[in-house]
Amino acid sequence: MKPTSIKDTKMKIFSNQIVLASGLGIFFTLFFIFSTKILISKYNYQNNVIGVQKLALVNLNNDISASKTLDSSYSKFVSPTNNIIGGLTANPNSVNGGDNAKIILDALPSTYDFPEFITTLQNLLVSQGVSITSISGTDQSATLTNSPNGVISQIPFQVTVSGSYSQIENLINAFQRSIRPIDILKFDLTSNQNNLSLTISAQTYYQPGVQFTISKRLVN
Amino acid sequence: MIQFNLIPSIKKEYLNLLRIRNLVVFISITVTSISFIIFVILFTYVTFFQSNNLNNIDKIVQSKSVTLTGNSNLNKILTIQNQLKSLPQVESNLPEVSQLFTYLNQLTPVTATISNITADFSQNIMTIKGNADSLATVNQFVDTLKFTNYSISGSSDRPAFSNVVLTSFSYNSSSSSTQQSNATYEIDFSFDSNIFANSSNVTLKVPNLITTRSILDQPLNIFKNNNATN
Repeated sequence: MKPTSIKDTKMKIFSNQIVLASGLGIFFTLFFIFSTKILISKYNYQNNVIGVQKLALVNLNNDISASKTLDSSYSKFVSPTNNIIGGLTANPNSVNGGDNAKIILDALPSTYDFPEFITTLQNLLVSQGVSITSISGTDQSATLTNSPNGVISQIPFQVTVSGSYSQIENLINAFQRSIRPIDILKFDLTSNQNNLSLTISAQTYYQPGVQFTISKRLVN
Repeated sequence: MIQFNLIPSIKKEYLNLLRIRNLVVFISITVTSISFIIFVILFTYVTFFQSNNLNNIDKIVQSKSVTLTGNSNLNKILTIQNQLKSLPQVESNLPEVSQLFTYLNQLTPVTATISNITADFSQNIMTIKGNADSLATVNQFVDTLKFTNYSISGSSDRPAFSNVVLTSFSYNSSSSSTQQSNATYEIDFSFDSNIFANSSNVTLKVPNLITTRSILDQPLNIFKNNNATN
């Protein structure tokens, strides 16, 4: 057997070094390629999040600016000495008193308060001098819990009164002049011996208040 | 010139292998280094710079959100703004029922009275029941309804009522000489919802077929119950 020379041994080492160098090179290159790929995905995701956040920031800045404008407009809206129906702003307990915001919420309340409405209605009827035969309606407060924000809803009711021609006419006029909209759906006027009997089916409205919320979105 | 290959084949092979090894090591180191540099740059950017950027924007967003939600008046202002948007629409859809009294004075013959009137403003239908001195008056009342037009702010005339039907009537000739109410009537008809629109200036154009209370200006005795006719 031929003895192994130094050159042969070195050549064997070189061959091993070639295999090792190429193996390590391929291994690390592949490792870095895969790592880079993962990093690129992360980069894209974070870039997407930053883009969405920048958009949110623009919206927030616009909203803050709008809220400042709203604040300023609201201050002007509620500040006049006399409100939009001529009452005194500084006297909220009088019939037409209170600031404009109160008047608007009296006209279209943000909460469903059936008993309060019926009391107001009764006062209105009494003020016109008619005799109240009946006031009816259904308190729907138990079923309105899921009423969406900012969507107008009806409060139906029925009233039967009796009175003279002029009293009935004045009552209808009073309904129309009321700052709280009263939508007469059915009108039934019957003449009795000495006076008139009026039955109306009507509805008034309320609109739940708007709740400002900042929604969150999941970025994919 | 003649060259002699003085390098033995084993040495030649050795040198060749040495060159290949150096080349492989060089390529391997170069490619690995390049991919490593790319990795390090990207890693630094994503992990430090981009994450930092993300955190900063997140902090600003949170801070602005707090500023916005910290406005205690905002819900009230938005609610009032929303009510203000809805109110004109609601108001414009309300029928101006008080016009009914004006219209009845314009339409009802002097010799006829009304014992009952029902109006459905959601379906735009109306029923009038009452008494009259004669069937001719009832007929004239029906014709008046049929031929009454309306106009809004000077626009072209349109029929105010449709489907006018004398649903029932009766006549008792026994007391005709005393000019009391001998005929009873019930008229059903539809009305154009525009005549009760509160946003427009409606003018009813009643044909000159009969004498109505608007001419005599006596609205108060228009309603009379059926039992009080005699």
